[in-house]
Amino acid sequence: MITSAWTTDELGAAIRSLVRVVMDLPENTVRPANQLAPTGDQVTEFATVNVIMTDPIGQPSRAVDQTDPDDELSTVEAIEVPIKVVASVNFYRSPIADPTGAARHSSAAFDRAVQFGQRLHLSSSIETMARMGLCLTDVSGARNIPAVVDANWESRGQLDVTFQVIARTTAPIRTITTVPLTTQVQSSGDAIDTTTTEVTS
Amino acid sequence: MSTAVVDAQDMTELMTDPELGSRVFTLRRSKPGTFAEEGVHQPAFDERQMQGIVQPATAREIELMAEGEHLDKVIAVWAPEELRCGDGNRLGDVLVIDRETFRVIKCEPWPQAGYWRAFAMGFIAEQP
Repeated sequence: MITSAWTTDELGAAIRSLVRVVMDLPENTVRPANQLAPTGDQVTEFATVNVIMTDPIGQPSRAVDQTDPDDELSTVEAIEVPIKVVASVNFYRSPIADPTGAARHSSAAFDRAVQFGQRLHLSSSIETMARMGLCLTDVSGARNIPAVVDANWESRGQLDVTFQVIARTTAPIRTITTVPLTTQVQSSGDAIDTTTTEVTS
Repeated sequence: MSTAVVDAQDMTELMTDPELGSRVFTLRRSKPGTFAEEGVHQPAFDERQMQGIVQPATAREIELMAEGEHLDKVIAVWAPEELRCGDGNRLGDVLVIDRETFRVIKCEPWPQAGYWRAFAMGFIAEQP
């Protein structure tokens, strides 16, 4: 069976986890973008992650590995491709309500986008990314993009984060286990002398 | 010339009148879902039967909807009880009518007159 290390959904989940940890946000407040799901009232902050591009870089490295060191039949061909991944991270809403319960004007979500870009360079963030197999290569500037939602302006901030990941694809290699070998020897006037043996890998 | 003042009529009875096209269909109402895999919503629904009048939405009604919804199958539903759109706390109602599924996208509540009017957009659901 051919296996690949990353799917976009798995990649998205890893980046959502990174955003949540780095920004110290409550569980399940960082969600996939374009999801049909309730998001609470006007002052309930949340964030989304959308993997908007994956781009293979350079040539793949090719190797033959054994997945089980004790099993010679577990030989696989492994291809490792470095891939550039761009994720669009969006922060929504501000946490302060006016006396009517509507969100008060604030640039809180934009500030979160700015802070996220900065916090990614903290040692603790780099350690988290290393554990996840994400290598940070670029952080874009944050964009302030409020929008009108439910008769009010909703604070929004966005930035693109570029990572490099290694996508490893493996495919099993069929191993020759035995090769039957037959030799036939004959001298002039003699009968054929046949010998059969098996060569084991 | 005389002016007649007409009180708001209770239309509940009409909503369940088969002669006006009232029929039974399935209502799937969302209840609080859960989350898995770092923020992926897992919706949950209660299912029951309800009765109402179902008609295709008119061209004028469709014209007033968002542009992306113009080409989809849109129906108008009159019901004697509440039909719900999605909001910040829940997903919109899903109606199953003749094995076709529709998500409620716009609601006009007229509870004083005994009915709720809703527009719902068709989508291809997985067949069991």
